[in-house]
Amino acid sequence: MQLAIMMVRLLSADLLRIRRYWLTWALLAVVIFIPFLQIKGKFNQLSDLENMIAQAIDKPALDENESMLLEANRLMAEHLRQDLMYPTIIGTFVQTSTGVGWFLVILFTAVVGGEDFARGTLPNFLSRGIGRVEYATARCLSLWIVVGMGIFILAVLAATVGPFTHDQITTDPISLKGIGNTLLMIIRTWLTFLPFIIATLFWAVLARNPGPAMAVGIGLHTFEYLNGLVIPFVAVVFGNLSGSEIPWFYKIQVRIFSLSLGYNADIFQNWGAPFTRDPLFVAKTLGLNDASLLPSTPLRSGIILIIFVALFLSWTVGILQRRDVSYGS
Amino acid sequence: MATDIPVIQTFDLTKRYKALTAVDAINFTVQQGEVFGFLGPNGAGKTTTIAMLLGLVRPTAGSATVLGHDIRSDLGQALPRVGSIVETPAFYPYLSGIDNLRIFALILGGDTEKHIPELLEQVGLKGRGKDKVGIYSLGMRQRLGLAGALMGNPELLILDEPTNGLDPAGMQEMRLLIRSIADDLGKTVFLSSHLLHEVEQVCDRVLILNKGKIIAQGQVSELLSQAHMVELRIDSTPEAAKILSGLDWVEAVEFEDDILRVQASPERTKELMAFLASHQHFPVEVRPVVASLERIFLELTNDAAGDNDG
Repeated sequence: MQLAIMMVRLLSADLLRIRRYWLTWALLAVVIFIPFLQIKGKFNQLSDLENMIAQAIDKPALDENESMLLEANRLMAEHLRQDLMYPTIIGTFVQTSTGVGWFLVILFTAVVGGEDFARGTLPNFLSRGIGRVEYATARCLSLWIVVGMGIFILAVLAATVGPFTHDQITTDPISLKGIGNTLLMIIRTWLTFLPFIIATLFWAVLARNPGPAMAVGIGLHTFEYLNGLVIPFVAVVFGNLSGSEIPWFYKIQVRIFSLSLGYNADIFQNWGAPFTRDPLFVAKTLGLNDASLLPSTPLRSGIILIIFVALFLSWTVGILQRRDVSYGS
Repeated sequence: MATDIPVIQTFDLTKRYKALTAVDAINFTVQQGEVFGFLGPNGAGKTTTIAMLLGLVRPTAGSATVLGHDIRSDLGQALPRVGSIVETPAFYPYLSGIDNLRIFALILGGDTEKHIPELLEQVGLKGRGKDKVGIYSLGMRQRLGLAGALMGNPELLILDEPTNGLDPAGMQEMRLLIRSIADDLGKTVFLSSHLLHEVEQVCDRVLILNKGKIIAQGQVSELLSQAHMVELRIDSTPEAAKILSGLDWVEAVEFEDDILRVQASPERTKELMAFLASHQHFPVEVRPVVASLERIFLELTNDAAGDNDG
């Protein structure tokens, strides 16, 4: 009970600090603005696809390739239309935000979570009887709560503009069909932010400085992102080879990628639905025929994310417990 | 409520950083309600000792108790009742002074937040509480640090160089405030400083630390009386020094040209003159030298340096 009261006090103190920090609001503005642009991009893409479909239909005869392309365009257009219909668009909005959101949460955690080390404010907490475990846990939770608030604001905005976008793509009346899946998508998205927060806080505690934490966190996430971009291209080269002929380095690359934080967060967030950001899905589409190289399931990814959380939180607490605290400024 | 349990007590408290011994098996006790001065030159180990008492740095050996709680096992029980400033107080610059104090208040709980206006007034920051700390001067940060230390009505205040960055008037105000915290509110103050006249004016007892070791401790008045001296101008200094050094109430004698310095209580001046006269030595000038903590401090730290060098 006493511990719960202490945690509530710490969270209140942390949330006061975070909501008065300009960076919080600046990043929230970015995280809202960019998904809006991306959703606009989806509308444009849908419009282009519909034009291509209309042109193909107008043709008197289609060859085999043109017919396949028309079918593919129809499928993609339908998929996009579903994503942009109400209430699914709320989930699409939130899901889209993670593209930039995971980068921003790394930046935010490094700055806000690491500032007690850089500014020398950590002794203000510890010298008043706050335990190091409670301190680290409260830091993670407060940042996660702030991310949750950001997602909530984004969802409310999407819910507000959603009916207008719905009217632009369909004449069907608005219904609440699919609201359950949308809510689950929002919750899963929120859950995926936690391992990013804890991993970045670990780097901040290790380096006792936000700068290296930001550099390492963003660097690693960029690396896994770029790795994901490379995989489909390599799949084009090796796609038609049988499993035993696929070079070992490509297998290792895919294996490492399948254990990375960003990839598993993506898989978990989308929970079985194919998504364009999935490089392994793209690789498979492009012809990679070794199914064993596409190992992830949402459940497996969820377990990997839990392992990330447990591992990085225990390392963070371990370092805090073991080390002397530098004092003053 | 007065108790016999010391507010701070150390038992061979030691901190080593690889080959460097920052604090070397120190033992001292701070009693309730006193203002205890913790003196030492830069690098003496003062801040390391304070950091150990606050749980920021772990001792290598020995232990200590704060408000009756062992710093190794249950310091968390004591710390909510301890207010502190460690070196330069650090705050969030994008928050106002009031909001920085609200952070302390939220951590401590209770009705602490209600006392923020009166604390700001007490430390001389009335009217500046809404300003961002980023624009505060060093002196204002020190004042805010003291307000933060006083949050939650702590029984013990541990203040490390609290007058750093204050102007002379501010330093005087701070001294009066510290003294009144002990006298009027009955709180114990552990004051680390290198400003000797400050310690002399404010503290009841002092401890002098040098290179991690205690080289003196006691009542300020006792230390000062030990250092009283009578200075004489006399022709035959070597002979006079020789006969005076035989007296049991003369602690030390030294001379330079025609100046003879005798370490003895000023009350013995008449006796001293009579003794010299009985041996046909007649000083042409006699004056008591008023001892200061600064002089004692310099002598002790120089002695310690000499011992170590030797």
